[in-house]
Amino acid sequence: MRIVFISYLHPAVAPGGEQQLAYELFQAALRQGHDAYLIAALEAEHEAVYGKPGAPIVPMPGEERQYFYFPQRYDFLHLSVGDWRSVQFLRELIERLAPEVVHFHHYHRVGVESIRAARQAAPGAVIGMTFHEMMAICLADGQMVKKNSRELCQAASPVACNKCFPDLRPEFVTLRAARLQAFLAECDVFVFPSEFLAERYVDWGLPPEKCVAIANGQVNLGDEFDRSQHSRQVNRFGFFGQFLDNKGVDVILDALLVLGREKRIPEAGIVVEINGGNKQYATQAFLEKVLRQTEELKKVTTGRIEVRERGPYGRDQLAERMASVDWVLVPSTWWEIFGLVVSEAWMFGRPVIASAIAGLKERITPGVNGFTFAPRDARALADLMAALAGDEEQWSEVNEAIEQPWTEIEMFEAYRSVWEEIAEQRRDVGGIAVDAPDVAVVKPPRKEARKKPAGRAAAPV
Amino acid sequence: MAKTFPVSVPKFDERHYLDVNANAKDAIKSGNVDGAFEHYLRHGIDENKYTLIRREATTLACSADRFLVSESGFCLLLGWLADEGCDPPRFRLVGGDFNVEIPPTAIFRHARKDVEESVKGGAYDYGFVAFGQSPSKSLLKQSLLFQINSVAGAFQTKITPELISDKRLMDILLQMIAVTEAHAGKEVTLYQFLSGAAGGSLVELFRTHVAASTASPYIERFRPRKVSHSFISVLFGSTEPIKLQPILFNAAKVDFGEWIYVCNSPEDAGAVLCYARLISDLYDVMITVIVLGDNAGFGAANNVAIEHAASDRIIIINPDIHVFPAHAAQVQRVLSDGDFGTTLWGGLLFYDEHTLMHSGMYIDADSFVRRNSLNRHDEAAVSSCRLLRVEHFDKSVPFNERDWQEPREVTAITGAVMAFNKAQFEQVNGFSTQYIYGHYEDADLSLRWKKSVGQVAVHPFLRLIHLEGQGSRARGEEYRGASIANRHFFSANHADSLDKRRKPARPRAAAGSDRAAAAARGR
Repeated sequence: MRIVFISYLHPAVAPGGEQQLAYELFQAALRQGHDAYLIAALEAEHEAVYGKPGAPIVPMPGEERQYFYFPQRYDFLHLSVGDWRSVQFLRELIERLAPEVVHFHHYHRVGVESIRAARQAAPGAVIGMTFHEMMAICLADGQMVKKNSRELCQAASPVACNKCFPDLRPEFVTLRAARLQAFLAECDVFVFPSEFLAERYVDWGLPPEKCVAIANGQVNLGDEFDRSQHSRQVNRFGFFGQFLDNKGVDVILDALLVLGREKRIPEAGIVVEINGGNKQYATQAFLEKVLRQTEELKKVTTGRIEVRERGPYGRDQLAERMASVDWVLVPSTWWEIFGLVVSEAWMFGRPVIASAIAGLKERITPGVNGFTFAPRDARALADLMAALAGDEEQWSEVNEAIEQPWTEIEMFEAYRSVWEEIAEQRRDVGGIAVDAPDVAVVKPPRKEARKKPAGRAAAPV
Repeated sequence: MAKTFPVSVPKFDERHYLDVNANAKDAIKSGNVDGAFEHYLRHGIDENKYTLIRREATTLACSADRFLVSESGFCLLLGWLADEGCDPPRFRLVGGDFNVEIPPTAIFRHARKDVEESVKGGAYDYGFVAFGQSPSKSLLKQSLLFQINSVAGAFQTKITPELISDKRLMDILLQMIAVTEAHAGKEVTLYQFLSGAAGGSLVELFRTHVAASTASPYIERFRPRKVSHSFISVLFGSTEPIKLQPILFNAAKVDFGEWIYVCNSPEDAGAVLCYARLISDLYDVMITVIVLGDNAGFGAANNVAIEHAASDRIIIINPDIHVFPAHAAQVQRVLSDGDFGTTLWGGLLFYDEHTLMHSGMYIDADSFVRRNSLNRHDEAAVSSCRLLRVEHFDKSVPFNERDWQEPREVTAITGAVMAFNKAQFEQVNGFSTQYIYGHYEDADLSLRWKKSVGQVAVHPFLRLIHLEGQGSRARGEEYRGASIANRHFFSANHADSLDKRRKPARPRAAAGSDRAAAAARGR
């Protein structure tokens, strides 16, 4: 099968979940013997380093089958590339590659126009899109967290969006959504890593018959790891991920403050390791809050709570960092779509203590493969930490119940089965005319998996 | 001469006074005054007809704040004058060998809070705006004496012009029209100004600007082809519409034939051309971009577009008009039908909440009365005026499908959506360029169309969304000023129209002779 993957960014240029996933799918496709290509749309700032004069698309230096794309005239509000030349070069490259599948992993920077261009370039191809956040729905970086109050936004609406963006009239929100949906209609299938995200997009206007949930898979980094290993006191908690406002480091610190003030710190104490990068993208207000909490913590815990900030980590450091903790905290305060950190913790047999929200809530069965608490509820987290610290029996029970997360190969096979089903049904109806792809779209038989993801692809969600 | 102070003028020579003042003789003959001396006291002193009494003219407090002269010789003089209690002053520009009188109809007085605070409080209109055109482009482009004279007082100062473009001068005047208030009543004050010489000069100034802006438009056609109809949208200050409209109409399966975007803000031309080519390439549709030299306004921009349209069936679509997927098939059928006949068709327009926003327009009026207060009693001043108002039928009314199965004849339709044949449009000489930038030209076209071409009607199946005011970025005060001025011009042009249609009757079904109307009814 000839497949073209199109992503926003490339993990070799800028690490991040979406680009890592796209890259691993691409690698998995190659490993499975397919003819795969990866086109990564980069940021404008990358063009000076990786670009070549006059070339909107260039081969990735030192790599085969991989390209960097530098779209011009990018309009964030509409997730649009307004430059015909950029889109034309992309179309011509896809045309030359003649894929059977074009699968997008983002529209940001790539531009929704590229979907139509892919359809023109490869009229018979299956076109898919995997959503990794809610940027099409929510202008606040796709987080669906209200800009002023930082409250969770339950549903986008013209009036609600105008509250976050007073300069944009409510009608604009309606038109923007209609435009995005017009372009997205070119896709044959929409893939979501969680049911939560699929439901959000269906509520927003995507046709449910095109939506399918497929869990993210990852290269298993824990093959050599002793999953049953834990600290003697079973009192070491770890945070992994981005040190950003919505990831909930402040909730952890608040929980520790509750334990300290109420003198509920276990005899052996508590150790919390913060493994977080990209701190420079956190807001000043958030960083100041964390600093205040840290100072306060020193006063109330008399040294029996130790918080270590270990900074960012690479994937090659993950085993060592995971070995250093017993429990992994995922206290996200936004709608965490999937939670790659949960997969990472599970690779190493670490029980997860997570916010009961969105994709995290879907994945974790409390007491079975982890524990959950009400999002943003520091007291609930404090209660869990106090109860679990030192509880070796509970740790072992969950540790044994944790299944290995999907690998990238399993994930790729799930994708492949969806593409093949669509292609097969298309063959049955005699193909799709380029001018009316949205009319003749074949319903994937796995569409019900969106609601009840018990099928092959959706099982790990 | 009862109840006035007794005055004696020992040297008064009755015979001489009557010799130099024929009016006095007539007044005595008609019995209006008892004699030459009474006439002298009541009129002669003020008229300065008999220089027996010498007096020192009071110097009036005054400031000529700005003296602007444009490339084509239009001039604008802004300032204030503390002439409360004086007779109406004469404004004059004096050059080396020439004098320029500024007539009262070229001046409007307005409130100046700053002057009221520093000179004298109270409801007096100290500010003045004097506007007109010199017969010569260069006559006023030099330092001049600015003189103000009344019997009671005078003022004189040297002024040097700021030389600016026609457009800038026009915008400054329009901004003044928008932001100034008058104790005497803004509308009445402006009525006198705009219905007189100044109004004519303002229209001339705008037309000069339009001519310059439309003289050599840049035109590029993407994927040209033979089309049966042309959509036309005028862009100003925003490229959003070209990102949205063709995509959404195409997604709703409405064949727009050729979509002409007239770019009234040339600074957006690069983005508009780029998007036009991109969308044309992606969807294999014809898009034409016309870039004007500057903002020529709605009417002139449409006139240019219609002149260059690839078809004879024209649909003017505001940049903030969109399509309901639910009504798209009906719209497509309207477009697929043949001739628009001799009718000027309007659409049924909705808010995005699906309530009606427009189903034709009628014309009403508001009356305004001068408030004199501390302002002088000037018999030459207009004491009241009536300005026409264009109103929409059914604004925010829930839509009832049963009410809209047939075309309805109306007084006027909005320029947001208009459908017609090019030949009939040319028959009425297109949109009038008297209306500055935008507003009222649509009602004006409707009224002229009805007079000389055919009926004006709302098509029951041309159903579209109108996100009113969302298609352009006309945010400056000059646009508000233009709208105010246009209302005065429209009122002056169509005052008679109102009298016939004073009461807004419900629109009636359009005459059945028109082919398109008949086709609409047949559905």
